[in-house]
Amino acid sequence: MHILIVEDDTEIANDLIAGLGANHFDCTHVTNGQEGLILALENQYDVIITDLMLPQMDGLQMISELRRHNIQMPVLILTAKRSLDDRVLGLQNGGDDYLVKPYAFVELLARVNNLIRRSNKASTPSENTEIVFHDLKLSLISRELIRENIKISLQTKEYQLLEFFMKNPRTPLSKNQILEKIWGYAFDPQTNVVDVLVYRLRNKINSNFQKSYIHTIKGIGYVFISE
Amino acid sequence: MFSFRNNQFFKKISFRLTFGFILFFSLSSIFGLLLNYYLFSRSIESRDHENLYAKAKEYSNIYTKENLENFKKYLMEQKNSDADSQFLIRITSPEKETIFIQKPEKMTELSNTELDKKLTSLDLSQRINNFTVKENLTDESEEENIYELVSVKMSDGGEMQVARNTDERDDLLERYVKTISFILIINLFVAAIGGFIFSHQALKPLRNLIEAIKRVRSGQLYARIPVKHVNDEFAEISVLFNKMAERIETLILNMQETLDTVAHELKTPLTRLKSRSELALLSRSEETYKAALVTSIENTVQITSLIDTIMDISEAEVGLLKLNLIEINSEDILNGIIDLFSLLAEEKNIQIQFVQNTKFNFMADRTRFTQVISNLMDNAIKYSDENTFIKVETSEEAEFYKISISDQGLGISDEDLPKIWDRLFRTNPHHKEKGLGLGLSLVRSICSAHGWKIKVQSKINEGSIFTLKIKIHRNPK
Repeated sequence: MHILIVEDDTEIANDLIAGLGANHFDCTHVTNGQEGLILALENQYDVIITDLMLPQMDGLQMISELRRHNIQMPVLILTAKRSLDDRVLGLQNGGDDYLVKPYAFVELLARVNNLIRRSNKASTPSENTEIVFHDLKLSLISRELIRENIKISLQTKEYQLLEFFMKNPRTPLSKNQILEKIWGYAFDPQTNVVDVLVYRLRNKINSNFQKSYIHTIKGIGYVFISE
Repeated sequence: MFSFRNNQFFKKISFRLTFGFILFFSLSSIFGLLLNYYLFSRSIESRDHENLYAKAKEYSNIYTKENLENFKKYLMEQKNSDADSQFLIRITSPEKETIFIQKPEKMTELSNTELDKKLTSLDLSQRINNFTVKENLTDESEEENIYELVSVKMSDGGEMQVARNTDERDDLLERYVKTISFILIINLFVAAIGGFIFSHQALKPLRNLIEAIKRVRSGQLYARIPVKHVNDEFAEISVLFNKMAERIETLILNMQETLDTVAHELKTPLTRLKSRSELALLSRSEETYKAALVTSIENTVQITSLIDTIMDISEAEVGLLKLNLIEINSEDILNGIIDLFSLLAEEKNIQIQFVQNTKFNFMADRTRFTQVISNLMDNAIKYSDENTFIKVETSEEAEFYKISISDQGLGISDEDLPKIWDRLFRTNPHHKEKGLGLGLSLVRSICSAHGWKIKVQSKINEGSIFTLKIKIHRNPK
C-alpha cells in the first residue's frame, strides 16, 4: 500500500510516516500542493493524505486539479479549520474524507483503511451471517451472542457496539469513532455515554469468564482483543 | 465653539459654506438694492419731469390769460415761495425772440444774455432737454449743474420754457445711495455671521462624526454620535456610524473576553500537562511514562474541545457562526438525542419521558440544535438524583413552538439564575461533575444565532425547566 502525504509541517508528516510505516504502509512525503499534484499525476497511490493550507497550491486546488485530470485516487483531507462549511467544501471538491486537527492517529488509520476498502469495492469480503472470535459467536441475523454455549442477551446498542468491535478486532477504536458509528453523531457531545455503553457490554460478555474482551487503551479508546 | 486653531481653516467646508453663503446673500442683496435704486430714481425723475411740465403749463396759462406785466407781477408775488425761485423761466415770441428771461437765484455766473444765447442754441426737440451750466459754490469751487428744460407752445405761437437744475434730486439720490450702501454693509455683516452660524450648525453632525471617529481610533470604543430625531442625511450617517461602532465594539470586546477565557481556562490543562511530563522525565518507571502520555492526550483533547467551544460561543455572539440550516423534524431529532442520553439516565435510574403535544418541522443547523438539547439533557441528568424523572415536552403556543426539558434535580437559586448563562459560571463549585462551565453559554449563543429564545425556571431542590422557543414561520400559502 502506497500513500502520498502532502503536508508542510515536517513534524506532523514524520509522525504520519512513522505511524503508517508501523502499519505497513509505504509513504512518500512532499511539502506543497504543486509537488503533490505532479507526483499524483505520474504515480499510482492508494490514498493521498493532504493538508488544506499549503504553500504554492492549497489542498483543495490540488484535489480539484486531480479530479480535472480524471484521477480518482481517494483523498483524506487534514484540516485545522473548524467550521463545517469548509469541510463540506472539501468534500464537494472531490476529497473523499476529512479529519480535523488535532486528530487521533487511530482514527486516521481507520479512515485510511476505509478509503482503501471503498476504492477496492471488488475485494470486500462477502457478507457473513455470523462473526466468530475465539469463543465468541455473534449471529448477525438473530443478533444473538453465544459464549461457550451460554446465550448472552444484548440490548440494541450493546449489540451494535459488539458488532463494530468484532468487525474490527485488534484495532484500537476511539470514543468518537464509536459515537459516530452507534449514534451517528459526528461531534463530541461531551458526555461519557460511550464509556457507559462499553462498560455495560464488557460486564455482560466478560462476567463469569476467565478471558476478558474489550480493553481500555488510556487516552486512545478501546480495543477488542482476548486476554 | 468657534475654533480657528486649525490653519487648514480656509480649506474647510465650513469656510467654503460661509463664503458661499456671503457671496450669494450679498449678490442677491446688491441686485435687489440696484433694482430698487433704479426704480426709485426713475420714479422721482419722472415726478420731477411732471412737475416741471405742470409748472410750464401753469405759467403759460397765466401768461396767455394776462400779459407780460401781470405775469412778472405774479412771479414777484411768488418770489417768496422757495420753489418758484428755483425755476429758470424764458418766454419767446412766435419769431423765436426772447421776450422774458428769469434766472434762478443760484445761477450767478451767467449773465442773462449768455444764458439766452445758450438757450437759443438748444435743440428743443425732446420733451425734456438737458443742458449744463457751471456754477460757483459758496466755498469757491466750481460745479457743473445739469438743468432740465421743458418747453410749452402757447396759443400766440410763442414758447414758455421752464427749467430747473437736478441738484435736489441728485442730493436725494445720493442720500439714497448712502442709505442703501449702509444697508448693504449691514447685510454683508449679517450674511457673514449668519453664514458662519448656519454652516457651523449644518456641519455640527460632521464634526461630531469626526470627533467620534477620532475617539474610536484612540481606543475609546464606546464613543457614539448623539442623534437627534431628524431624518436627514447626517442623522442617517450618524445612525450608520453608531451601528458600525457598536459592531466593532462588540467584536473587540468579545475578542478580549474570549482571549481572557482562553488564557484562563487553558492554563489548567497546560499546567497538568507540564507537571506530568516533568515528573515522567524525572522518574525512570515505564508506568509514569505511560501515565504522563495518557495525561497529555487527555489534556490535549480537553484543550481542543475548549478552544472549539469558546470559538463557537464568540462566533455566535458576534453573528459570525455559520449555520447550515435545513428542515428538521422535531420528533426524529429529539428521539435521537433521547436515545443517546437514555443510557446515561438508566445508570442513575432516571426515566426520560417524551411528551409530544405537537410535532413540527423547523429550520435549524442539525449539529447545533443537537448540541443545545444535548447540553440541556446532560445537565438535567448530571444534576438529578437517582430514581427521578426528566420530561422532554413539545408544545405550541401562539407564534412559538416550545421544547421544554424539566428535571427534578438540584435546581438553581434565584441568586444564581441570571448568571447561569455567563461563561465559566458553575452553580456549585464543589459539585464533582466535570464540565467546562461553558455549556449553557454555548446553548444561549447557538439559540440567539438561530433567533430562538431560551428561558429557565427553577426552584432549589425541586428542579429546573429549560424552555426553548422557536418562532413559527407559517407559509403564506
